[in-house]
Amino acid sequence: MLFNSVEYIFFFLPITFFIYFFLLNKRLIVGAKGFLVFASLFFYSWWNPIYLPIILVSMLFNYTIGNVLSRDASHAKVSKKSILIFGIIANLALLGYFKYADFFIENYNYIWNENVGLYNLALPLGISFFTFQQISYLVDSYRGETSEYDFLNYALFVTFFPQLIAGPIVHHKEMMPQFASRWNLVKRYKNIAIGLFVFSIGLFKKVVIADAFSTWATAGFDHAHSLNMIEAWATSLSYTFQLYFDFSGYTDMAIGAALLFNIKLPINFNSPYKALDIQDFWRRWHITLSHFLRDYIYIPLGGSRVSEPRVYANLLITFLLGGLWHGAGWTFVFWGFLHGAALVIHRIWKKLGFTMNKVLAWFITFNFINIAWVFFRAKDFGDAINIVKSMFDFHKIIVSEKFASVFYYLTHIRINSHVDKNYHFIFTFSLFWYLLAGLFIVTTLKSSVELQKEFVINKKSLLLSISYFTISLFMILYMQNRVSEFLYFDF
Amino acid sequence: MKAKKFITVLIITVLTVIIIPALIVFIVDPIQLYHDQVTLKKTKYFKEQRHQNIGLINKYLKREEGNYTIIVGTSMSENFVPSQIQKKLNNGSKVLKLTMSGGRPLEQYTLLEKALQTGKVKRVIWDIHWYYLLSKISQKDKNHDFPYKLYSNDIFTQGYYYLFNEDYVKDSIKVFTGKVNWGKWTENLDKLNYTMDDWIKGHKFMHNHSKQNITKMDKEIKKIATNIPSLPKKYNYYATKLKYPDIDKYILPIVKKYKNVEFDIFFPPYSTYFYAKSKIDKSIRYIYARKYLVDKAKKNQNVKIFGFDNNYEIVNNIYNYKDYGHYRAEVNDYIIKSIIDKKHMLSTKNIDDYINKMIQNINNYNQVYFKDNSLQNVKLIANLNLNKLKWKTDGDIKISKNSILFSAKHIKRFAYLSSKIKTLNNVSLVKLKIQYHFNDVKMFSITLKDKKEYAHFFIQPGSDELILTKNNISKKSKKFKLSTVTEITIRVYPKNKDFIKDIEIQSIKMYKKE
Repeated sequence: MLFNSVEYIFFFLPITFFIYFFLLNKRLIVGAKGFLVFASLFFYSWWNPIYLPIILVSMLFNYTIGNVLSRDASHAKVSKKSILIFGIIANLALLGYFKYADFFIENYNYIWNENVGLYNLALPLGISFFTFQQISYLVDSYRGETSEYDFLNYALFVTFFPQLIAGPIVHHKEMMPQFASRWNLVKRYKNIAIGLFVFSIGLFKKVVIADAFSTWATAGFDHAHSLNMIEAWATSLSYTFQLYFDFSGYTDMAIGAALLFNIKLPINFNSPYKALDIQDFWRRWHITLSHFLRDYIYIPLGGSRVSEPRVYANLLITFLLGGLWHGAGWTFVFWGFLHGAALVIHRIWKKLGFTMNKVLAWFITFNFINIAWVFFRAKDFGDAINIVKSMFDFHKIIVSEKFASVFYYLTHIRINSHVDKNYHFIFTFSLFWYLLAGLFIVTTLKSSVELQKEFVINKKSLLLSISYFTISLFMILYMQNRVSEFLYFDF
Repeated sequence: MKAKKFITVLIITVLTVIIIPALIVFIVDPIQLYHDQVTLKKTKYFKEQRHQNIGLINKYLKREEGNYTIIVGTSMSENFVPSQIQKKLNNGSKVLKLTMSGGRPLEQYTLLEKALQTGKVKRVIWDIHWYYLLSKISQKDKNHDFPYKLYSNDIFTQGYYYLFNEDYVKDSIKVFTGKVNWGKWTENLDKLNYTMDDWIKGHKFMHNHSKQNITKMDKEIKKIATNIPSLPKKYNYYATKLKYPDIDKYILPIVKKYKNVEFDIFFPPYSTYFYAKSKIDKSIRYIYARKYLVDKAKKNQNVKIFGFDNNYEIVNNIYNYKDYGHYRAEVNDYIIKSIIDKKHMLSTKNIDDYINKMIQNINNYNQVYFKDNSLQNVKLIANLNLNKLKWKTDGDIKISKNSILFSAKHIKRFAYLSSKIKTLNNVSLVKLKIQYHFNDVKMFSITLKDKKEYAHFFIQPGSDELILTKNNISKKSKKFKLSTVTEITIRVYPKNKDFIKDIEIQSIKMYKKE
């Protein structure tokens, strides 16, 4: 069930909401929480019930290990450290088996010229997220930073449906108190209002903005081998915008839905494309992942408190792993490497005390991120390199005739308005306006975090919510099944 | 404003606004899925057959009383005219046509199930197109998606697909205001899915009535005919081996399930030229299917199977064909008459003989046969004296002894010439003989006028003889009946140019029924 699907918006979410608060109203607190866990698992198995046992086993296993770790262990036969290592290895093994097995086999085959069969496993949804969340729980239990949690609250912490599939990666320290708090067990209209408002923004971002860009991005990446310069830029920018609006829209919807249940999820995006340097970017983009990588990889490696070369190495390792976390493929690793390297360069730059004009800084940062996304999205290195090459191939500048006729002076700088057969998505006005609008939104408008903070119940926000919902729902409901094009006289 | 009010207003407003388009579709109901159209004047039918047919099933078979004969199948059955068949049947049964251009076995199966479920269908007339006869075929036509959800028995699936559909929202508004695109909609159920005779499909037969083309086809067929090995031997080999999964899956279960429904199944008579030109293996598959179906369905008393492949005046004469397989509407008339009279039935007794004769005919077909049947049963009443008529034109005409040479420059859309003629009565057919280059002309539009009323005939280039009958009128004023003619106008639309030259009008002849 996607957040932007009819079954989620019109059935799952409202029904879950009403039953949950109905049970609470009857003072059936355990029942209500149990129901919420059940609903979340139902939500999870909507895609594929086969993976339900995986999340259940993972949850029970980690809860048990966590409890053992947080207990007084002076009489134990096995050291806590061994248990922790065992727990982490078990989690990574699960993740490794489902996510990375084929990747390793492929590389093994390539290096040794063997032909070991692939597993071709479908990746269980959200496995990267719930594994990481629970690893952090184990580590913190070992550190003695957890108390013995109630199992039901723990189950809620892992499965709570708004964050189950694609984050934000929640931390038990943020979540457990909220699930345990009695204050959160009554309907709060203010929260519901904010929740709906944020949800509507996210829905709009996903359905109206991201999905529009996705058409262009897909078309571009499908023809990666033969794009001209304008198309290559349009493709990479389309993807840059698509990814942001898609992911942050999804997060907004998660935050909004959680608020209906009085749960505040951590913020995950804070206008990342406004970043003026790469470090700034990682403080704004997928914030919960950055925190996880910082707390559980970078700092344990020694963080910044070691010699300067070790810091660089730590940064690189952290981001190589971060890249790998996003997907089992060398393009992801390379994307991680690019960002790691950029962070290293930025650190040296700052150490040397240089400064930079703000606009230039933004320009460089944004373009670096944009180009790095090409590697993130492309099927393979060949495609990625082709696109990046085309982006800087000044001999191949082609726009549509209509476009060129308006900006006729472009022809003076040798921009060709010629339309040839390799032309996949003519750089049209609608794409042009969309890109311009995308750029405007990400650089100047307030983030949904800010909007959420400033939210007041008034006519303006009501009107905004209504518009966002109506337009998005209209697209969701009415543009699903189109009648095929009518072709008369054809047998 | 309080939070509670904010939430209430938000949810109610959003739900109300987004439900409106669906409500419009429900009220207008363009394909009449739930109820008859409540539009202002006349009911409109959507020419996208796969969509309209479920509407017709609900409108007639579900909501109206009576018993029905339905016509299902492909473009091979499109030219049956329901109202005429109803008259011919004359047994109180109403006739409904539910054909689908390019209709695949699974699509037809789905549609038939839906129609037969209503219990009001007493008889099914069904063409078995070659889609059923291949061992593997895509169940989807490349140009049409079958809306399986619209045929779903689950009202929610069906309703969601239909009511929450951008295209139907737009269509509903158009139907309601009456501003529909008449290429996509019609008000006449007889003309729904009816492709007229002047449609000549494909390039092979583009000029199939010109001498040039017939000579060319003749050459081709002569070349191939020498290569055909004797079919009967191969046939015996295949007879034991061939399997037809789509007949097993999509025909036999239906005729077994609905024992009280009569099934008149016919194999469309493709041109002999088609079989002669097909690959031998395919031809054998097509031909042998007749025996297969006869054998498999012999226990089903409710099934009759018809074949017309040994009616050589039909299948050998390429005059009857618009392309390899599609025949003129007259052939449809002949088929329906035979079905009603129970003629040309195939049975276990005659099938071997039938197939052998068919193969023999194909093997012997080494000369293209063309006979113009349009002038059968008519009598010449006037051969207009072209050089004596007073022509009006926006081009140049040169009048010679036997013909008129027409040319024009700087044409915007068309050039015309027009003349009044001495009033003629009882006209049933008009024949123009015009010499021109097929590549110069996009279309002819001939207009006939009686005292007040008029009719247009849009004719694609393809033949030097343009024949106008009541069957191929493209557009007419309401009261026009082809009988009295007082004026004729010829419009020529040039192809990719702004001029025409050397259009030679050689004769205009009027005929009446004998």
